[in-house]
Amino acid sequence: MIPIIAVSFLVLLLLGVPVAFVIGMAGFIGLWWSGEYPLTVIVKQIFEGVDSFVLLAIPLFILAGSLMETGGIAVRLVRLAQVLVGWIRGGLSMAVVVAEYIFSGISGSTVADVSAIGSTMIPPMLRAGYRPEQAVAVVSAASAMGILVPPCILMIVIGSVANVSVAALFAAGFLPAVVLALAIMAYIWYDAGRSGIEARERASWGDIWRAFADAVMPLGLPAIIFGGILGGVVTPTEAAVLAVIYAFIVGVFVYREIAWADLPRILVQSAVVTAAVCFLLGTAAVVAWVLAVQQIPQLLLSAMLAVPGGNLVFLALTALLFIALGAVLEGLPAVVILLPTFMPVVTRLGIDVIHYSTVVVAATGIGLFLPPIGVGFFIACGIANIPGDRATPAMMPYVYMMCAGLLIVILVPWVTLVIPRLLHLG
Amino acid sequence: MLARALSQVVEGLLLVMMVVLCLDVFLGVFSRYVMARTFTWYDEIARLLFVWIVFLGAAVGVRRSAHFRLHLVLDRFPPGMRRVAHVVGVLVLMGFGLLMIQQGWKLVELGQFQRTPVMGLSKQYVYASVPTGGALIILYGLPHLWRALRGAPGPVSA
Repeated sequence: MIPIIAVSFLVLLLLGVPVAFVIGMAGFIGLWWSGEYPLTVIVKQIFEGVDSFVLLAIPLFILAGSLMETGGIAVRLVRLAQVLVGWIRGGLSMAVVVAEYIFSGISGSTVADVSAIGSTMIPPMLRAGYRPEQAVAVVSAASAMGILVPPCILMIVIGSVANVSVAALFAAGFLPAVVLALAIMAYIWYDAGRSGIEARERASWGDIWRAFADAVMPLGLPAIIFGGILGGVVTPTEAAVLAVIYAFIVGVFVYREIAWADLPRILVQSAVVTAAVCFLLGTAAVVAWVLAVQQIPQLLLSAMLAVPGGNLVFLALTALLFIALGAVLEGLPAVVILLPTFMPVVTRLGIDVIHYSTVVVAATGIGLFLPPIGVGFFIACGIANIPGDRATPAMMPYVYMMCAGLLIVILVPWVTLVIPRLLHLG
Repeated sequence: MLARALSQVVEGLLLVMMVVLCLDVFLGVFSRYVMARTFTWYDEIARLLFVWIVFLGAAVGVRRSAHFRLHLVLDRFPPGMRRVAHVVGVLVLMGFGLLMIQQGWKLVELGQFQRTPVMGLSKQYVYASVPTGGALIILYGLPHLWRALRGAPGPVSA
């Protein structure tokens, strides 16, 4: 049954069929071929994959994000980031990384991040004398790092399929994101020195204060989300609805950047984006179920126990696998299908589930921006209007730096686990 | 004409369900923290709305070509093969819609013996989202099929 599924999956994928349907159809063909199970299993698994209270946070975070993604918010955050780090060598690029760290704390979707930060930052970078491929590389790297900053749709999905606390996953992302950000910034510093981009003047305290005051409204949103969830006051779903209400008030009444007439379009669009994510999750649950009844997790477990090197090798292989799958499949289906399959191995090897999940998230983020096919990298190239192969050489050093950062995250579980433990979430 | 009217109904439903979902979850939070007694029904309503949003939204996603697909290999096909691939692709979508109707209907039939724990709502109302979504996927697939058969350029999406 498994080979049939694999072959139909590959054929349909290469034909350009939407991935959600590729997975569902491959699962159907496998079940129908074997004839061992009733076909109702398919809809039953899709339905159960979708019907979960944890996943409710997804439409709400997507909605909050799109209410906050009006031009004004990104501009204010970028200005704040510029006064904070703009005086360092390579300042504008540094500001991209810092702005994306904050912006990710508003938006749950990495693809939305790259559009917002890219269209705000790439034009000024070009005016400041950056080459387009440099700008694309910096924005892509920053957005790849941003997947680790909560809220993060992928973490909510992991919470649902692997039965892990979403609050703990959110808390776990902060420091690994800092590690990756520092790795990116180190290369920016080196590269700026090499290409002779001058630093800007240090901003005065007055400027810093004004930029902060200006950004206080957008900063309120991550404050609600993190304060609420990490303080253990509300669940991620509940925090998400508070975020929606806050973003609605800021967008419609305070900044007045959203007209009432725009709201139906924003709401329907958020519903469709949610559906695209969650329908995929449902069809992937079918294949995950097939793997489970075919005893694949047990086979994998005995195979992995035979491999020398134990935990580190397993974590490193996981990272490489999810970087590749993140590039080809946008990460999500791979997580839904493989994570339940891998979890028995993870617990048997004694790896912390939160640590493991964070490695998966970081690797998927790098994969999304892996040249030449990562979907996020593609979007960034589109914004700068350059072909992917031109930006690839500029991007690769950042990919290596992020992989180095990921290696640190793998080798030092403390980086991931310290915050969840301090907050008694892990 | 009819197709457009139907789309407006479906998208209108999505709109209303999103608003009600937000209000419902907010009421849940409000009842728990402000009134100090939790409305027990709020998560049941939220999940009912959520599955409907997902299956109707997935169908609208077909109409808008919003589903993620791998087009890199396809773009390198010669035009004739690309056209065949488009037709096959749309047929796969619609075939899956058919499966959702056929098998989803069995789920709905099973649902008459099940009720939700708090409100006692028949599960048929929950399960009905699956065949409904399937039917809409087929309907929304038709214009794509027509364009693919005529060899019009394929959908542009992520």
